Amino acid sequence: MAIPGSGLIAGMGVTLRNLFRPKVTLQYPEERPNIPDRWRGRLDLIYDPFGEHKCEVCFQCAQVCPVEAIDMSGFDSEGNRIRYGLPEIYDERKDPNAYRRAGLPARPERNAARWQEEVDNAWVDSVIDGFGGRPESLVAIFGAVQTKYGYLPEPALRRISDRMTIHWAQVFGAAGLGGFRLLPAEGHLVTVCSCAACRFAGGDRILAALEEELGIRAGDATDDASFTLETDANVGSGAIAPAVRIDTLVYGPLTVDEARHLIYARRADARPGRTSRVRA
Amino acid sequence: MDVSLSPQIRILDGGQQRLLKGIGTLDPGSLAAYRKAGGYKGLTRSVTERSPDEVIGEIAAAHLRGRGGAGFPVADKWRAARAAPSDRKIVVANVMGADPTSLGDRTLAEGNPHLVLEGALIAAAAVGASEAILAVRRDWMLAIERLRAAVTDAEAAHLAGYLILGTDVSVSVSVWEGSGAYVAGEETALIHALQGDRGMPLIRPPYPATRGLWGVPTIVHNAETLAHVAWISGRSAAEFAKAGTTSSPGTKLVTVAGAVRTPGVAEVALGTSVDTIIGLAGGSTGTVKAAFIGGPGAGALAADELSGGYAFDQLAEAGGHIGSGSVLVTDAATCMVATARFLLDFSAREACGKAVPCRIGTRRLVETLDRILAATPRPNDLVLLRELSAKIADTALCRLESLAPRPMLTTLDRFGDEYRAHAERGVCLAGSCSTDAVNPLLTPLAEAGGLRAS
Repeated sequence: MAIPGSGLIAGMGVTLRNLFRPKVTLQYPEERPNIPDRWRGRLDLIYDPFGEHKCEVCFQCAQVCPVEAIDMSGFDSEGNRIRYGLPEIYDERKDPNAYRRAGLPARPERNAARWQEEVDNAWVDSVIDGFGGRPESLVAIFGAVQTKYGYLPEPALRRISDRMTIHWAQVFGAAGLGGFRLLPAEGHLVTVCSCAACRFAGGDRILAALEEELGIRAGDATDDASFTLETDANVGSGAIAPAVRIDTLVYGPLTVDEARHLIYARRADARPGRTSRVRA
Repeated sequence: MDVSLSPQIRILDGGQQRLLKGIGTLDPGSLAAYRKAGGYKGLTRSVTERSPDEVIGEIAAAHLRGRGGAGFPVADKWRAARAAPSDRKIVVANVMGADPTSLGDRTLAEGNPHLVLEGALIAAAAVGASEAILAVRRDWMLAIERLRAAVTDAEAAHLAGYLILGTDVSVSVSVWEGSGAYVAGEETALIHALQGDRGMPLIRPPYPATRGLWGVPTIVHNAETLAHVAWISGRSAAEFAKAGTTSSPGTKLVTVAGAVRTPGVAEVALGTSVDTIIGLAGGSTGTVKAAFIGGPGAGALAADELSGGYAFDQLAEAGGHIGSGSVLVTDAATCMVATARFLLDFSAREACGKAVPCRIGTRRLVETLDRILAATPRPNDLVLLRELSAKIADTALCRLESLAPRPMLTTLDRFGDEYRAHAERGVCLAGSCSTDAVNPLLTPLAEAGGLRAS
């Protein structure tokens, strides 16, 4: 049974306690908070109305962060998945939400952890040592790794960073702008040259035909993981424009029918992709 | 003897035989053949007979301008590097082929590697550099192989390396396999890439000629410029001026491609009309509508302007630029709006991300063009294109960025009715646009009635 007035006393007790506490409200701007010099606020990445990151994943911020506090992942301007950090971080949780907000279908499969790869560290070390571990040979080392694995696996990049004592952000940044693949291709890698010379010679019709033939858009892989279709301006066509590169062979000049035929010819021997393994 | 070049390269007869002389007949792997044709005469002269100032004077008298894009006078760059106080100086030959449509450098590196090497050695001797780095795109395996062989042979013959020809000039040469985006063609970006950093440009000044690779004075030239240096040093400035115009003497390697019958590389005298250059490639496969001159930052010339000369000043007046030396022909069935969007999209994709006007500005330009192509423009989109382009050009960090909006601006000037027809009526005057040209992201956005709150 409550004593009348006890609630009032309890309430006044709270008031009384707070009366003697130090004040937290600042009379801004007359009073200024005491902020440590190196405080930069809470880090947040912003999105444009299409749900695309405004961050280009250039690693500049990660590179200058003195305490290596920044984890990154996202899509660079080429649409490559670049990541550094824990398996599921920040934008991977946030990405689908951003897409839904923009009225677009969320594509969680873009976040599937396709980047895990068993890397032969001893082999990577031997490549690095072969170049004397000099930072200017970074591109050549990337080239060797890409030749072996077909792309630059993240563990290999980490190993390069550790072994050469180059900041990982610098390694990732150089790889991201170096024309290297950061994701494995599934099955046959079909690259349609997107340089201006090829386009003016009819390269856009070839791309449209191959997209129709494979039933996918450039940048995607077929469902059975037998073909990956992409565009790249650096197939280097020149006199053989319009050109298409399949795996390592460059074909040109091509007509639409010839380009389709290149796909037919490979349908028979299309090798199974690698998705099933890395999805596990 | 293997004289073959990569199948991508077709040599066209442009009426001039300076840099391309002997390509396809002269063995690129043979030092003796190169010397027999008069090679390394310029280097011998530069290190034994002439002082560095005389070497630079000869280049200055020839009014040689850089063939890589900006057209900066070569001698000015060398004087700045020579005057820079440093024990260590570096010469970098840019064989990166940053513009995928330009094949002149690749042709030289594959067909006449000693010419490029000799030019680099002369440049090093003139500015007092002790190192020369040949930066080659790693995809060009034949070029790398032949340049490496050329360096080895030249070192064995005491034409490169320690104490060249018994003089006190020493230049150690190395071949660097590079890779990079379009921006790696910019000299400060290439320097970053060479250091193992992300290939991004730096604000200038300081120019690389005073502070470049590893902080030491560095001169960066593309392979064609160095080949011209070797050619002039072996002959004379007066002979160099025999081709070309008074303000733009000499020759230029031009890559003609696009809607032409036989695309390829030709050496033409500067001042040759663009019509003639297109004629070298067998003419257009259809009716020429426009020619995009100078790579991804190309200026478009309409069909009736093509009688103008292909030279530094004349092109600048017409709104184009020599740039990487590519001439891309489009036929009558090409929509200029879609083409401008395509070239801008290339610049936006290849942006390194360092400068905000470039990273975001070019993307916004592409989006604006997408709205126009989708016939859903905002009321002032055509004005926005010009304003944003001017801002990008004003605030650009590198030259590639300031040139990025140019394909769109020059087509807007010449083919404005195509832009208006797309924007106002949703009609493509060239009859070539399908919905594929439109950003796929826009379609569901429009169907969803624009942005929604979450």
